[in-house]
Parts: sequence; structure tokens; C-alpha cells
Amino acid sequence: MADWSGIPEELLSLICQRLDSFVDYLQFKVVCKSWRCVSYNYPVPQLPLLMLPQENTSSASRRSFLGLTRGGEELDKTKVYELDLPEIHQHRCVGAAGNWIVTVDMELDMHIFNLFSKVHMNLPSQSTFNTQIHDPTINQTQSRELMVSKVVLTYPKDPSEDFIAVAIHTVLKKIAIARPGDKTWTTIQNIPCVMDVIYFKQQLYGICANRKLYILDIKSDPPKASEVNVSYSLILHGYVFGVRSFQLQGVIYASQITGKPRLVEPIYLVEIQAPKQALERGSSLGEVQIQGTPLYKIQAYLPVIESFGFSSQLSAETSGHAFAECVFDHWEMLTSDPLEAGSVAATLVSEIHRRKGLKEQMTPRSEFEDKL
Amino acid sequence: MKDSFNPSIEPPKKTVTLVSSDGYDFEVEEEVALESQVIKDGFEDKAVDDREYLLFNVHSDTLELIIKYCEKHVSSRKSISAAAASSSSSNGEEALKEWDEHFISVDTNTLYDILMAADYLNIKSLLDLAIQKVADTIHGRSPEQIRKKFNIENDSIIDPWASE
Repeated sequence: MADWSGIPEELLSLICQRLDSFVDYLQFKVVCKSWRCVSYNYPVPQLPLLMLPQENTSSASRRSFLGLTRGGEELDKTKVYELDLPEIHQHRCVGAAGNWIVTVDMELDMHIFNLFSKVHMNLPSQSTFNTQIHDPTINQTQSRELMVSKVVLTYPKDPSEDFIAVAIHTVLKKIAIARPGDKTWTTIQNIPCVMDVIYFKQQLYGICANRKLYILDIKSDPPKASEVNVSYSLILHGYVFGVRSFQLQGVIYASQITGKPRLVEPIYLVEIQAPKQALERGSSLGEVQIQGTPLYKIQAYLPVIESFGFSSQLSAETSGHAFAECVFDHWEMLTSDPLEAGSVAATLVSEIHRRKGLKEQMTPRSEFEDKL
Repeated sequence: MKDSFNPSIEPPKKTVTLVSSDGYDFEVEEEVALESQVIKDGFEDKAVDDREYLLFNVHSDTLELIIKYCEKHVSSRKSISAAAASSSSSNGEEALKEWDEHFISVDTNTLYDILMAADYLNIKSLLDLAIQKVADTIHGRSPEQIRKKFNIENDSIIDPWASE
């Protein structure tokens, strides 16, 4: 009799690698213990799923997920998956972590729900935030949409600890925390205007409107926030979080541009040896006669970029009497702004860009700003 | 091209005997048996007159299928390379793929036997085929449907910490 749950791990892992979507992979994981073990022992990197909003009018309990499939040419081919999720019918999804999502239902009660194992936990109602919007023109549905902009879920490595949900209040930009089973949300008071929160490597970080980064210690009672010193450039736009490498590249580039960049160029120390008569036809900065010879030594600084063809020009000008020796001496900053069109630095930049086949103008900072 | 396939002058075929777990003998051509990496590895060590393999893990029903698969692959490989040599167009690969698909369209019990036998005998192409079939069978099914399809008992104690 076939024993599919008992087939060797190597074979299961091969099967696992052939699954062509994240949904299949997640379904695979919850079939039975040994199948789940395999997905832990031989993890297959998966692309995330994007949960699509449910139409308000929709009576069906199915939710759509936009998934990406793996594999060569089909990498950018997207697929929409449907899962039947009556448990979260008409809930608004406000956060996610792994297979878990945080939702608000029509009654403003909040839930933690695992999309695949269907485990459900209660969070306190949204109406227990101590920062309510008291506006009679806002009805419950609107309040549901407006109240929380994001919930970050921290899931512990140690099963004896609780999940902790961290919510950002849309209007007041305060954060509140709650554990499953709590009666109310607890607002963290000593942190100003929170723009975004991220859970990274077992640590919760909050970025504030004052462009400061805070570590949030949510396990202490009451929860504390302590400021972290990070490079200003990294939090340039206040939204470092969630940026992936290419975006981060943009942010770092933009921050460099913002920081009034200047070009630094290498400078040669040029020593020219020439007889007296040759010198009369050139101009010099300072000259010393080399003792015991009829030669004069001239020293000058010359930017490396200007030194190309210098020697040949020099011997042409002096009918071959002068010899130049170039030695690297130091780096020097160009005072002109490379972002200012027409300046020396900008000309250099566009020349270098042209030589390297890049677009000639520097990308202005505005290209990196968030388009709201 | 001394090895090229030419039925008219071929010497009498060498055969080996495969013995299934339930004691049936299967006499197959040597090159068919060599599709199995395991048999191939052991082949050189065996005396010429003692080419018998006891396959303790493979039932005769499954072994019959496996031999059918290997025979088909050996023969179609020959016809494909013959077609390539004479540069005549051939849809041999297409046809073989179709044949494979038909071959592997079996119930999950048989699929299981084929998978295990292919793994045991180390027949790479058949293993690939079987694994892909399992993956395809899982595709689009819910965990409950998968359990039903593969006759797996739900032993998952739902574990809220098993998030990721």
C-alpha cells in the first residue's frame, strides 16, 4: 500500500522543488507532519503573494492573491490564485507576517488569522484605541478604513511567547500594541509621530516624522521607545523600511545628491627639467636651478585629467628641450557643483558619463522622491 | 559509428535477469537493464554468466512497468539518433514525451510504486517524470484534497507557531 506520508525526504524535497507556485507550496506544507518537515529541512525560496482587496459588494467568500511563478522565462508571469476564506469574509486586511494576516471585521473587531492552517486568534477591537476619532460624520465603515494604517505582527521564535501586534494609527501617528486575548490596545506614549514600523531580526523599529529611528521595546511594561543613531542619509525620506536593494540604491544615491556632493580629483606633481632657454618660452610657477647642471627644475601641480597629452605638448612647445615627470601627489576637491549645469565639475561628470556610455546628465534628486 | 543501430548485422542480444521481490524472473536485454544506474554500477563487477539481479524492493507489477519504460526509452533513443544521423526530420522526442505522459497517467498507488522503484533503481528520467507527476497532482488542490488524493492521514496538530 502506498504510504505517501512516509516517502523519503529527498524525494519529497524534489517534489517540493517542482511545485510551481507559492500556493501549492503552502498547501503542500500543511498536508501532514512529514511533508511539513521537508519544507523546513529543504526550504524552497518562494516569491510572496499579494493579497488583493475584496470588493465591498462581493458576497463570495473567496479572496484573490496575486502570485508570481518560479522558473526561467515565466518568472515575470503573474497568476491570480483564489482561496476560499469564509473566515475573513469582508474583513479588511491591515497587516501580514508569513502566512498570518491581521484583519479588521465589520464590527471593528480585530483578528490574527493563518491563511493556510486557518488558526484564528482575537485581538482587541479597534474601538479600544484610546485615540478615537470623534467625528459624527464618520460612520463605522469609514472609521474601519481610516483608523489603522498598518499592523505589524511579531511572531516569536519561542512558542511560549505571544504574538505581538503593533498598530499605527492613521491620523494621530501613534502606535499601539496588543497581544492575542488582550482586552484593549495599549498606546506607546513617548514616541512622536510614527511614520512606519518594521519588525526585523527580532527587533521592532519605528521611524518618526522627525526622521529619527527608534527601537521599540514592546516586551517591557510599559513599552519603551529608545532612539537609535543612524546615518541621516539612510532615513532621508522617512521611509527606509520595506525598501529592497534597488530602491535602497536609489535612496542612497538620492541622499548623496542631497548632501552637496563635490568631485575630488587626483593631482599630479609635475617636475619639468629644462635648460634656461626653453624656460623663457614657457611659464612656470617656481623654478630652481639644479646645481652643477645647466638645467632648471620646475614644479607644478596638474590635475590628472588635464595631463593627457601634456608631455607631447610640452616637448612640442619647447622643441624637445623639456622633460616632464608626473607623480601622483594628492587629491583635491573641485569647488564647483556637479549638479549645476555648465560648471567645471558638471562638464567633467558629463564627459565621464559619455565615456562610460551612461546618460550625460546626473539624475536629479527629484527622480527619487516619493510620488504621492 | 561502430555502435550505430543496424538490426541486420546485430549479434545475438545479451540479456540479464531481473528478479522481482515476489520471485518472478524477467529476462531483459542488457542495454535496457543498464538504464538503471544501480544495475550499471554493479554490472562490471558481475561475472558474465551470473547476470542476475535480485530487486528486493520492486514488485513484479511495477517491474513490468519499469521494463516497459526502459525498453521504450532505449528504442526511441535509437530511432531519434538514427533520424538525426540521416538528418531526416523526426518528431521522436515529441512522441516520446507524449508516451511518457500517457505512461505516468496512473493512479497514485501505482505512481508511488513507480516513484519508489525509479528511486531504488536510480533511473533518472523516470524519477523526474514521476516527481513531476506528483507535483502536478498537488497543483491547485487544497491540503484536504491532497490528503484524499494520496490517502494521507491528517496528523497535523495545528501548530500556531508554524508560521515561517
